[in-house]
Amino acid sequence: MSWDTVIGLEIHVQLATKTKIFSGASTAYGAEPNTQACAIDLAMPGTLPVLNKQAVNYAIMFGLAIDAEIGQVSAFERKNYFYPDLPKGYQTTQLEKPIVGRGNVEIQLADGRTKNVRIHHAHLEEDAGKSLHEGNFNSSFSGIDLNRAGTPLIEIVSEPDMSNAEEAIAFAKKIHSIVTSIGICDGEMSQGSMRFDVNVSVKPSGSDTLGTRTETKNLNSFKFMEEAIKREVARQIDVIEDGGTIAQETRLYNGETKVARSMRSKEEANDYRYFPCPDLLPVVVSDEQVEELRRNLPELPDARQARFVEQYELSEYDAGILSSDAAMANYFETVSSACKNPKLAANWTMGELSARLNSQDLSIGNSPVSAEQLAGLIVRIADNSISGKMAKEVFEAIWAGEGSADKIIEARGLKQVSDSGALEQMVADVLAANQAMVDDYINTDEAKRKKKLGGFMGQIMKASKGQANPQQVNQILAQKLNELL
Amino acid sequence: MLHPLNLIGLFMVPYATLIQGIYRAELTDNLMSIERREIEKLATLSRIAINEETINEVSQRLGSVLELVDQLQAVDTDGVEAMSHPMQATQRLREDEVTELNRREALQAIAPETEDGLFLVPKVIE
Repeated sequence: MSWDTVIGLEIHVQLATKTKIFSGASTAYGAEPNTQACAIDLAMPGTLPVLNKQAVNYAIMFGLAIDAEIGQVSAFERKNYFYPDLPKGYQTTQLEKPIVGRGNVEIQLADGRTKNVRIHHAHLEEDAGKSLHEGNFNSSFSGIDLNRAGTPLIEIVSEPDMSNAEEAIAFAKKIHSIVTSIGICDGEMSQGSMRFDVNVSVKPSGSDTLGTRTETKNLNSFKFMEEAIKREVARQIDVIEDGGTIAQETRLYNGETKVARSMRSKEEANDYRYFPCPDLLPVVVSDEQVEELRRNLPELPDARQARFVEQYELSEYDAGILSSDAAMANYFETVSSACKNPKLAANWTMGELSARLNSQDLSIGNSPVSAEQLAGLIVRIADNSISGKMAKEVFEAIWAGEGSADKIIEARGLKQVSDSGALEQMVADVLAANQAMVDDYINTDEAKRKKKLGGFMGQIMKASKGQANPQQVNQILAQKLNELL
Repeated sequence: MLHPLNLIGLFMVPYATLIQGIYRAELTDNLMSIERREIEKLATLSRIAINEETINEVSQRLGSVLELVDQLQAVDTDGVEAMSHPMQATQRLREDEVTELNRREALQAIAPETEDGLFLVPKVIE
């Protein structure tokens, strides 16, 4: 029997505000525990929340980016549950009147197809703090760090429009691309800036009735999300084919151990007893405010991709990769305008640089090689000062902090010899010193002579300490050998 | 949609979650005798300890609140848009500027247990 998979996503996006959603405490990442948790974040008696204007604007910008209805009046509710990293005993969130209504996101798939994923809504809410279960304290305790408590989030809720892991990943990446392009989120997955809850169900192929779904919570990488979906789909099909039924439940997936487990069943589901938050008045968004945000909305990934194809004559594929990540797109444009060579700028940004960054788990924002430095290197490749092989050496040296390409080329004596007089002399010297190879070349069938060229090239490059321009040497060598025939 | 009960929530915030739970449990037709297990469930959800001696009294008191709710329910609200706040005012917004500085020492001085800047609580693992 064949099965259809139905997937919906809930995505938590941390907004890139300087301060919390309801207090003036900093949201900077990586501070000492509880140094950015003020009396409001700690729910001290007598404190009241005051809503952050930038958080509201960022939420509206997301709505504009997905062509959604913007709620002119939105309101906050309290979602009640008890957990030590939630000091108030409730999360302030939106339920009845979210700030962003229905919208649409188009995803591109590997086979070139596109698909529309509907957004049900997106709402503003606050993040909780962090519970640490191991540390420099008695093991009968948990440690609570409330620096993250009150960090503004938007929760984006999709319709169940995805039918396999590939589509879900493409959608998640598209949301990542949109929120980083419009600058409302830093997109740092390793710091928890985006977290995914995945709703999965299966049904017999072609059936109109949805199966029972499970929710796998708090996935923080595309890779873990893909694994979790594939495992959950396989598990559900196994259970049903063995005559069992799927229980509606919340699950957790551990990306390190590759093990998923049930967290709570529907019977144990929290009863959140939502009600309107009396501390916050309705939020009214004016048409002028929306129009101003629309006018100033940064370029969206799809528009940027089209512009890269048009302006820099890149392939759709290359333009798609570069524009999918706002930081990478900005980096590429800086390199390209500094070196005036978009094709090489694209190749080096997506190739050598990305590979090197990935190998050390660095984001492009933290690249040891600046855009200006990469542009300096590309200028020297383009004007034939250095060969491709030398370029890799120079790149490594820039990465290691040795300075600009020109400085490294000078210091290491790497300059490629492209002076034709000097190269001709070099070729003549090598031919004179290797008479046996020359005789062998002359006595070889014409069809096979080409293979013999490699030996001469090796000698010449060795004699030049790798600095001879290979294309030029090739030409001169062929010409000189022909003259001997 | 919002229940008229939400209005009560506005001035009875400490009890609102408890009352909401009862209301949603649809036991309003038998106000004076809310079932014991419902009281116990709601007490658990609200983390309020209710002992044997007081359970009847709590049941009666909550029942009388629900009577009030029933009176409100009797009002014809057809065509009236549900409101989330009784005041005709809208939320003021603040600029995104850091105004709260680190006061960890003072804030942790009143905590029962701390270590390395963390608040310590009895072990929780979900």
